Amino acid sequence: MSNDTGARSDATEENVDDRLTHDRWAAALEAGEPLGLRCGECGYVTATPKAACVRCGSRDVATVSLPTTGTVYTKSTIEVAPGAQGSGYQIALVDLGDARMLGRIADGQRVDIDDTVELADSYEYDGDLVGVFEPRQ
Amino acid sequence: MARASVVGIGMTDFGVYTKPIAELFADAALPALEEAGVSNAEVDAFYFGNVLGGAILNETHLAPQVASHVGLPPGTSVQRYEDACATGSLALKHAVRAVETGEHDVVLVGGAERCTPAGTGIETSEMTRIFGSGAHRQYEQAPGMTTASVFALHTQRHMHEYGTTEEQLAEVAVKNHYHGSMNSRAQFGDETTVEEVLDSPVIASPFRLLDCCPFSDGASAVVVVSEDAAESYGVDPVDIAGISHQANASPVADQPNPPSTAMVRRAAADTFDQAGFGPDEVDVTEVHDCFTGAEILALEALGLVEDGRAGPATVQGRTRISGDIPVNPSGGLKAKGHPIGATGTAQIVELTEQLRGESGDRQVGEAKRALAHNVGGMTATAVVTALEARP
Ligand SMILES: [Zn+2]
Repeated sequence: MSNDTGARSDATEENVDDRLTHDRWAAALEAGEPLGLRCGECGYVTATPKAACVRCGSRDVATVSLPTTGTVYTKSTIEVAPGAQGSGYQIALVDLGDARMLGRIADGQRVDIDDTVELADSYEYDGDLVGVFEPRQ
Repeated sequence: MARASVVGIGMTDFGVYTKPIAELFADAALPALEEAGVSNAEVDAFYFGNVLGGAILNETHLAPQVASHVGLPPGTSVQRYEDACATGSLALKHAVRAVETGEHDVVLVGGAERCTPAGTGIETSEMTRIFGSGAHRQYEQAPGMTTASVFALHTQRHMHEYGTTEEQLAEVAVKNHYHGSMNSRAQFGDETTVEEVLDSPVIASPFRLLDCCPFSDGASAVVVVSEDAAESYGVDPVDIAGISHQANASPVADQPNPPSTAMVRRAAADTFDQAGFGPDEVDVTEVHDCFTGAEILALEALGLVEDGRAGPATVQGRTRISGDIPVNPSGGLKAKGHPIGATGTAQIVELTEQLRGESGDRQVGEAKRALAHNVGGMTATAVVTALEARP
């Protein structure tokens, strides 16, 4: 993780270029270093890119690095899915620090609410990258 | 003071159809106009709900085509709406606003959908992909979230927080199939049992096949006029006392803690404020039970039962037609069916009949005030509508 992705609290002209795009977010996720946004106005932290704060609308959002270990908030095991997704896989909303991310659970693994999970890999579906989590050993 | 009034209703049986969308919609719209005693020339605007015509039938921009088929003359203001499963109610919201402001006097509003694997030849997994188009492509579809699994995520958390059980979920299906067995328009006319639900295959845990509404084709329509003009149409008008549309964040990871469905709570508060009555005064409710767990969430978010108590309330029979909070007398999406663009106005059709006392075996006694709850997308949109019979 480069230093300039750390907490920046102001949305000045110069860090418009620093805006967290999907491409940058996906590259960081693939590198095992997930990025989110923290709102300088209300403090809300999101795990996916936006142009402004999803809670309060402030444009004062700064890219922050998210932890790679988190807690399962809720989960579901999916048996009927689009063909290219396979079946019998689990998805989970995972709390990574102050942010919540929808991730995929590694094939063959099962997690429960409140389990600790780690970002272990990434997964590509139809050109888009997804975080894959495993139960902490 | 009501915002608008319903003076005509129509809907098809829900099930499997292969006829063109416009023909399907005509089967709902023409009876609605006839009942209202409205000639086609009197219709000022037509708001049409359809969600998947583009993805399934390669048909978009359907409003002029459908309007032409049912004979609405040039000069009628026609528009198509798409807001996932809340489409019909969103079209209704605009109809209410149009007559309330005086922009239009008579609005035909409704929806039609053809989205069954049986009626389109599209296999279930591909149809599941198409239905998933309401999800965020990058942050919901890519991880493998489906329509069933977003409600499953909410419901699993509800079970964790409140001890809601799979048996309680199954009781929702049993109740709605029982109600649907009295509705000739319902796709499923058969009753089911808790055992049958729990023996059916898992779709997205905790939901099994019989926790899920079917893929459905069908159409529904209502005629909306201003409150003042309603008496002149020769039928018992039903007033729209309030309607509120609220959104939630997308993706679901950014929504305030599931299973709160915060957008439903905001919409309900706003609707009750407009209507001047509260959840305790509602006699009959249609909720968006696309999955059994969705009805549990709805009962609580609407304030019909306390948070965490919807499972036990269902088991106790409180949400049956004979109970103290009758929910989904039509059979709901679960048994009546869910042709997505037609669902919102189909709820209004059912509640209008209930308030007129025309619901036959499934009539809720002394129904004067009604509530409709329609949810769209990945718990990202809600419309709550309050209806009232005239004294
Ligand atoms: Zn904020």
